[in-house]
Amino acid sequence: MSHPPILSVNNLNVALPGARGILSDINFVLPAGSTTAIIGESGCGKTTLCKALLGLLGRKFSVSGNITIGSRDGLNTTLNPGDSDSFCNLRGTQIGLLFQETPLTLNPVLRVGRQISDLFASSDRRAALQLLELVGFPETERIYRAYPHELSGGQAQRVGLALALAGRPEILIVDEPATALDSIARQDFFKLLRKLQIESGLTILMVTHDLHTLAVAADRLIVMFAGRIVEQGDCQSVLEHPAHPYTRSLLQIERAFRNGQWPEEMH
Amino acid sequence: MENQSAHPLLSVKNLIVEYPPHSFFGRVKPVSRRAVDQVSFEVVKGETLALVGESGSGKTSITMAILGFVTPTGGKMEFDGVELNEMTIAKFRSRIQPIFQDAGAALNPQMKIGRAIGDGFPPGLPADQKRIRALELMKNAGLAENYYDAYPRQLSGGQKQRVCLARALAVGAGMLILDEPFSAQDISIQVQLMHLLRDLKAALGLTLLLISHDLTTVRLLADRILVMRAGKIIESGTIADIISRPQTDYARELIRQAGIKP
Repeated sequence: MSHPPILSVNNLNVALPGARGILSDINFVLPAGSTTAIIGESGCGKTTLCKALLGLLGRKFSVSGNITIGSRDGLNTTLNPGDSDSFCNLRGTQIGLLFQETPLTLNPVLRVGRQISDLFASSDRRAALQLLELVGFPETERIYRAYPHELSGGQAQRVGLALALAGRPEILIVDEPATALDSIARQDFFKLLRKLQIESGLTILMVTHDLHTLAVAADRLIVMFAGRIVEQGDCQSVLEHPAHPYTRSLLQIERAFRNGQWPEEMH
Repeated sequence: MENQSAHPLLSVKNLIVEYPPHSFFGRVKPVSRRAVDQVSFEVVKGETLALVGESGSGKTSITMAILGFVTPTGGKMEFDGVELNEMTIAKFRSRIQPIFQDAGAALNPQMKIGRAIGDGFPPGLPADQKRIRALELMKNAGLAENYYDAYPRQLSGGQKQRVCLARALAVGAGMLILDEPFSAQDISIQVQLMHLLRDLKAALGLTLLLISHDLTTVRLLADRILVMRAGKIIESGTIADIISRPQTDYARELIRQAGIKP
């Protein structure tokens, strides 16, 4: 990838005092305008890594290493992920975050439009409608007036995306964005992320379980296992020549599923 | 293939499930929503029938009606030749058991695993017998003996789903309704649970109604599929039929999205 990195993680270690490390020796860069996917088992540290990138780990962890984040004006800021306050000016405006369970992050008693427009100075209604259009709603007025319970899972996830994009971040972190969606809504969501990326040059870091959509949704792939990065590189080449046994067995399962065969059990 | 002579264990005729106009802070929506619209199907003893469709297509509403958690607006359901209504559903709970997506939410956090399973046995069974049979079920479900005295929070998601399976079998259910039983799990755990389900089904002759939106896993487990959309069954047949000759655009799209090779 020829693009310059917009974010680099250098020797990141995260541990709970007195316990085994949660993240060990994490090193990677996100090239500007690309999508990087992270895959790995539950509990391998994917979500902890996402939190670290936003300085949201909290005080109970001991953290070493640093994160360098580039910005629009070409300046790089190097931050200690254990120091939450230093991320204050970046969260939402430089790095956006989208969680798996968007319905939980929406206020159930406020209309969708109000929740988006409240993020802007003077509760800008036009800006909110523009964002809803950006995330692919054909009838922005109807969604603007809707309450969260009136939305389907896929619609709620797109509203979450609109909220995450309201601060015009250059980097978007999405943690399992489509696990709760059915396969068609899931593909639509990945297509939307791709479209936004092409239009605005967004850099995306995406935690996912969905190997099947990786090839179309991501440029780069990071494979994590037990708190470490065991493999990373160009998505296509990792999928074609997996080096780590974990990646290989995942791909074996995936291939068996596609061909209608019973996969072997892992471990 | 559907065996015409076999008698259906569960039969659903013209089922309608409607949710009433709901009030939200005093605002009433004028129309009720029909989640299941005149659906009919039969599940033959020993088969695995899959309900496939996108979110909101009515799959879960059907299972809720069968389990008696919602009252249907219309239609008739029979289990083993007896009509299901509110009175009989309680009786049939020992024969149909649900397995839900969120296994953690289906277990009492204050109840140890051994008791959660043991409470499913008929009342009056001596405690030592309960223990022996619960341990046997745990073994069959692939759970180590030392989890007998563990609490749900000490178990992983996959292990909790194994506990739910063991509990359903303790009750003595011959039919399981599984609503997205694997989709919250890692893919490696999904594979383990699929193997477990296949082995249990073969060993005990279970009848399964499998609700899922994942055609790739459904294809391996189910004998027949019903494709649902907007509350109606739009297509049904054997797995091979639907995959090789889908009749509707929607089924074609599902197959395409799942990346399935025929």
